[in-house]
Amino acid sequence: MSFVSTNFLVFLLIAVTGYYLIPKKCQWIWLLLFSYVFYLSAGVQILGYLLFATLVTYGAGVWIEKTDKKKLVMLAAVLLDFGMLAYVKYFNFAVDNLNALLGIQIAERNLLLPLGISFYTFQSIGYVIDVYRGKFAAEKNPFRFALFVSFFPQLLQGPIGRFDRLAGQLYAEHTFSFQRIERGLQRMLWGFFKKMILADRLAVTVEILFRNYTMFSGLLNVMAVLCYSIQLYADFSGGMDVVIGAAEMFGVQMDENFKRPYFARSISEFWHRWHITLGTWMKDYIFYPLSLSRGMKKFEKFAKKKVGKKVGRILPVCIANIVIFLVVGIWHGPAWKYICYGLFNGIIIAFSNLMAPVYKKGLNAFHIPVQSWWWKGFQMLRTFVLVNISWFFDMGTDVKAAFTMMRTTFQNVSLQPFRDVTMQNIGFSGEDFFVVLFGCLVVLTVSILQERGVKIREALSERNWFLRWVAYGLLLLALPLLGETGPIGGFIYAQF
Amino acid sequence: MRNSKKALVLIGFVLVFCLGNFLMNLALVEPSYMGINYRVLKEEGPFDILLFGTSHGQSGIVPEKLEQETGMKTMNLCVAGEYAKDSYYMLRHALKYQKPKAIYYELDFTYWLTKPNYQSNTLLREMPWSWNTVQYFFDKMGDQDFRAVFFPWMYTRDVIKNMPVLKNYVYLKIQKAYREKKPESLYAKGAYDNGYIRGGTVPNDQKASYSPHQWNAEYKKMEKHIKEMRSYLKKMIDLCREKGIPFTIFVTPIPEETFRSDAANQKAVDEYFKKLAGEYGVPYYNLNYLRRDLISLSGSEFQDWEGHLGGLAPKFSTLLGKMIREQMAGTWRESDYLDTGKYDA
Repeated sequence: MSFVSTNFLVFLLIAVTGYYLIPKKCQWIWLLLFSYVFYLSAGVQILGYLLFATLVTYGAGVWIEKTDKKKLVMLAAVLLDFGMLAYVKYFNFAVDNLNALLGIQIAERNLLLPLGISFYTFQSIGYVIDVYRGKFAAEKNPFRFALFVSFFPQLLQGPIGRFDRLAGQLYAEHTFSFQRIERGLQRMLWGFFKKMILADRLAVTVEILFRNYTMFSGLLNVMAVLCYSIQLYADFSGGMDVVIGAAEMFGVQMDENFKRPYFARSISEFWHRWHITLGTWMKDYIFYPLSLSRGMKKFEKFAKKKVGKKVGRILPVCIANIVIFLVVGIWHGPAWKYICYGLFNGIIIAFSNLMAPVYKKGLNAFHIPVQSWWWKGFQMLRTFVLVNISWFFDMGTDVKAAFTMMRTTFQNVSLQPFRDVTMQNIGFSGEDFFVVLFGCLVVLTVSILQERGVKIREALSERNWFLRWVAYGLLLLALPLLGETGPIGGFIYAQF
Repeated sequence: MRNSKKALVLIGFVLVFCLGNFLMNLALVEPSYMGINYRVLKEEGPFDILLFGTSHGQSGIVPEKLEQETGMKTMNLCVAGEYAKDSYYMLRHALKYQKPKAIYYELDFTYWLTKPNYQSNTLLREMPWSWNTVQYFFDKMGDQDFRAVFFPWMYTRDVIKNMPVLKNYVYLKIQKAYREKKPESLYAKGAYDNGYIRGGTVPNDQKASYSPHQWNAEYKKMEKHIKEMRSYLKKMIDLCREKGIPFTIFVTPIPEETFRSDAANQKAVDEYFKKLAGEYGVPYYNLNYLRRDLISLSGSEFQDWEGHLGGLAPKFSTLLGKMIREQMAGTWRESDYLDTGKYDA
């Protein structure tokens, strides 16, 4: 059930209406029921995976508290959940590579990738590890736990939630509040604006430019990656707005997943602003355990002896960062291009960690005013360029295509394609340009205000009700007036 | 703000928005003949033969000519943008008002290789409200972008840049004849006949070029859609079987030039649907194999290279009427009308 479909809106209307009409102590049961109905709408056959992840992590959580072999139980649950994800998502990729490497002929399998598996698997694993660490007590009620795993707004594309932050809200009793509904709808409307006016407007052009990369070069490659930059942010963050808005209507506040990522001044900061919950998950469950592990401590000692204290202390962090981003790359999908995408980010961050003292010396030597607007602007631009380079891997058909596109960006550099029929051929009309420009200006304005600490929604609710509802009306009117009218694709991250 | 005031604000907003939306629909959405079709279906007749299908049938089958041959009152419910799902719900709607003696389904394989666009939604929007319409609504619109439901004017919003067209739309829709769903509101006398909409013949040198969809090449990509089409076609057949109404599938002819230049593809399509009809236990006639001594299928007679019969419609309908008469009388012989395989490349 796509978030932009009529079915979803009707489903949400019934879910919210019923939620506030039934006895409060049954509200969480209602949510559980609707979450499973939502998931079943995609097909009964994939329900098994959700149930598997739920039962394994629930069982592991309860058992960890009862047994002495806590670590073993935790590892078993993690392996089972990851194993399930690895099997459905990476089996054929592994087989293809083994066949190519060893010249053998293992058959691929016709495996269906269950919706949202990457998200709910990570969420479940996070829970089991937190129970093992004693962060909170395991949930004893299997149905309540099932709600945590399957809560429908977040099921398909996150954000990856934490049990201690979500549970209290999911199981709490909520009284109807008009303001809560208004704010939820407001957030959803904003998400639809970004999705329909920006992301879907650019989808066709991006697809044509990347899929037919051998036919294009020069500034068209720059256009491709810039358009993808906008499309991906609008699509993913727009999807998050819809998810968070829908959850808000039930009184559940989900974690934010985006914080104006293109304002980041370094790749490291970018990943604190982009897909935040994936980043924090990686940090809490891979980075810290890895960098604080005995093996890494030994390596640190060894490195300090070999390359000096300063570098030796940083190297484990660099390695941990590379590992995390390798995992991030793998998480995105079974393809070498995603691995390259992850490694690209990891290596840049690792290099930045290593070179930080050198940068600092350089900045001092050249008396660069690091708080000046122009220096911050330069950092943002530099980061934006690096992020866009990474998008070649993300959206390119494969690694070769990514490198080819990067290389041919510097060939046939000319403005001619923007003057002739090329724009028409790639599905980018004058109207598209102005609508996308308008959309970007609106989103940029809102982002700048938020970056300066202005709480937009609070500011809006303080406004005169007439102005507020006129704003809603205009935003709603923009969807059919300016939005893409071709078949609307699903949200990009729902494929993970 | 107090809750009662908030509720009033919300109601006010919804009312203003609905009014604005209504005006946008009035101005930007093209007037539709579907309302006329549904009214005729309900109030006129009784119809002995009902035809369902696509734009080829809509512009190619003249009920009056069929009636002259069969002696049976006929309604042509073939519509541009009518996919199998639409035909199914239209059939269910039709059976509430009519007790036909036969159903004929005009099949255009290109609908099996393409998905419906927004124009197809008109068939639902104009259908009078009933439980069938509600089911049709969720089945058709449920998975679509919610804007297609709430803002149908979105797809024709560019009309706003063409004031004469916009004014004409509004003018037509406020006419009494249009509100009463009379054919004269949209068509000159004789241009509409119980669902048939007359098209003209276009000289060959003025016809737009046409590349047929390739069945074998596109089948895999459209497998899910084809499966859905099959399931709704089956539902139609099962419904007719349940009501004891004979159901026949046929394919209207396309220009000979198109057929010959696309022979391999046409053969693949014919074999697929012949097999499908066999599985479903219904007769199937591919009228691209009509004997050329009975009718010329030269492109010069057609409206376009795709297969809209245009000026050929009356002659074709007369021939079709003869075939139907004989089929229903049990005196039909395929060789009297078809030379199957003769015109393959």
